[in-house]
Amino acid sequence: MGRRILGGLAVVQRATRRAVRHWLIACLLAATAQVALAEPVTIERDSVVRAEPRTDSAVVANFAKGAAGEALARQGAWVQVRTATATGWLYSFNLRFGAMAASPGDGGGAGSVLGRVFAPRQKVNVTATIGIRGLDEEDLKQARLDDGQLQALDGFAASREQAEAHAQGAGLQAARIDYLRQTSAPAEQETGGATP
Amino acid sequence: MIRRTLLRLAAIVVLTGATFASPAQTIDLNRIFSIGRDAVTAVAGVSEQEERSMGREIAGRMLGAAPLVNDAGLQAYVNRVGRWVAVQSERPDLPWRFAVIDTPSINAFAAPGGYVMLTRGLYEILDNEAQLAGVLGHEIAHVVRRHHVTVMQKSAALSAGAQLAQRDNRSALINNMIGTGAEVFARGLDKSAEYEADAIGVVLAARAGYNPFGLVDVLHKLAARGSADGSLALLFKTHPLPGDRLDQLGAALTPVLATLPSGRELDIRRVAESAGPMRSARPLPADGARGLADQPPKGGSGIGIDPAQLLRGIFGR
Repeated sequence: MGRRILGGLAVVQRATRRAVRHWLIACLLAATAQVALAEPVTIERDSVVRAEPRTDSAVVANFAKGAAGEALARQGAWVQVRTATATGWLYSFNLRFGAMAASPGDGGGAGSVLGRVFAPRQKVNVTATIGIRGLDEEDLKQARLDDGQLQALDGFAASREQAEAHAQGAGLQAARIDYLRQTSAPAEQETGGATP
Repeated sequence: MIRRTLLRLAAIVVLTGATFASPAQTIDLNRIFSIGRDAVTAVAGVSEQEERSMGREIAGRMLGAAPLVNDAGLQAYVNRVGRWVAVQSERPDLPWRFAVIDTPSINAFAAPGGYVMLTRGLYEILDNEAQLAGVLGHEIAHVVRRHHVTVMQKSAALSAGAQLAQRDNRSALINNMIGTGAEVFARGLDKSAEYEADAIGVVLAARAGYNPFGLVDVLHKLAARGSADGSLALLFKTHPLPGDRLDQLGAALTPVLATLPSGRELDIRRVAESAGPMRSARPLPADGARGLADQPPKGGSGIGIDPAQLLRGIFGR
């Protein structure tokens, strides 16, 4: 009897240990997934933030230029961002990916000259590329024609029919879309404290 | 700089020489001064055939600086995607050529007549085919709008003397427009041409059935890398900053966002891991014009410059 109870206890103990281990692994995985999804972002200009990725959706907050947050999801031109104060959707044009180094007061939006000079962006993945020289101006000025390469290039050309076959195979459907009307200044971009 | 000044001087010498040496030929000054202006405005002055040979020369030189990535499957794939995007433009039937060139720099280039080259450095940061289509759309737009032809005509027009001397020699004129090596890519285009190419590129990719925001994604990637990234040095020098491009594109796209189809993203073909640069025969020796342009001119004129050699240098043969 006593032995059976002890045996039962051991089983429960093992099961508990296994459950705890699984729970720990699950936590670890969840944390990793979150790290992978949550990219740091910096708000580029004052923006309205919406509950859903649609312009007719309710405004849940306003993010101020320079605010830091993390991107949780993307959908078309929209990015879902969480900051210390709120979570919601805004146009990707209104933010920049990457965290800024501490830049109090701002003027340090990721795209601004001041930001680049005085508050260099925290680099995540540049160590691998920063020393690369690659093609520079001098290479281009010195460049001499390579006819063998040109002929190889001709050999890879795709006919219109091959291109259409590729599109069909990939399920791409051509659509009629007008060219954009270009404006000189950033216009209505869901900026400022504008309300819908 | 000094050499360029001397070249202009030499051109003027020829011009004035012509005025006095052949009094029988009347020279219309108005015509001389209008030649430069004509060359600037008359993009139509360069035929499609000429545009293609200019582009071929420049693309060939570019490949001399950075050869093709040795992955036939990849090159064929990029050509199919690129051609499909180009088919959505006003010039679907140019002999389009697309290439991935073997350099770690992050950049892409378009040469007149339908040549589009993408660096391996750029290709390898792309996540999907929609992003590739967006980048190719931007370059296709440069070709469709003849941005580089216009820039080359402007720079050639600086020397009205050269224009006059080459009135009857189209190939010399074209050579003069191309300039040295593939320097047109080092000079870059006007900012407005880049913004226009972004706006057109997005639409071409969307017309082709891709997610319209591939190019926007790539601009975000470039912006996040920042100006300290060495692989972006040339791109940052010759293009508006990615943040500014995002601002412009945002302004142009916002009014139509709700109407754009969502399109497809699709997996992108990866570069074969073992692929290095494609080998080819040694670069052909440059022709007389280019050979001379690369070497310091030698004696003959008393001031260490031989005008005849210089002129061959500018005008070619």
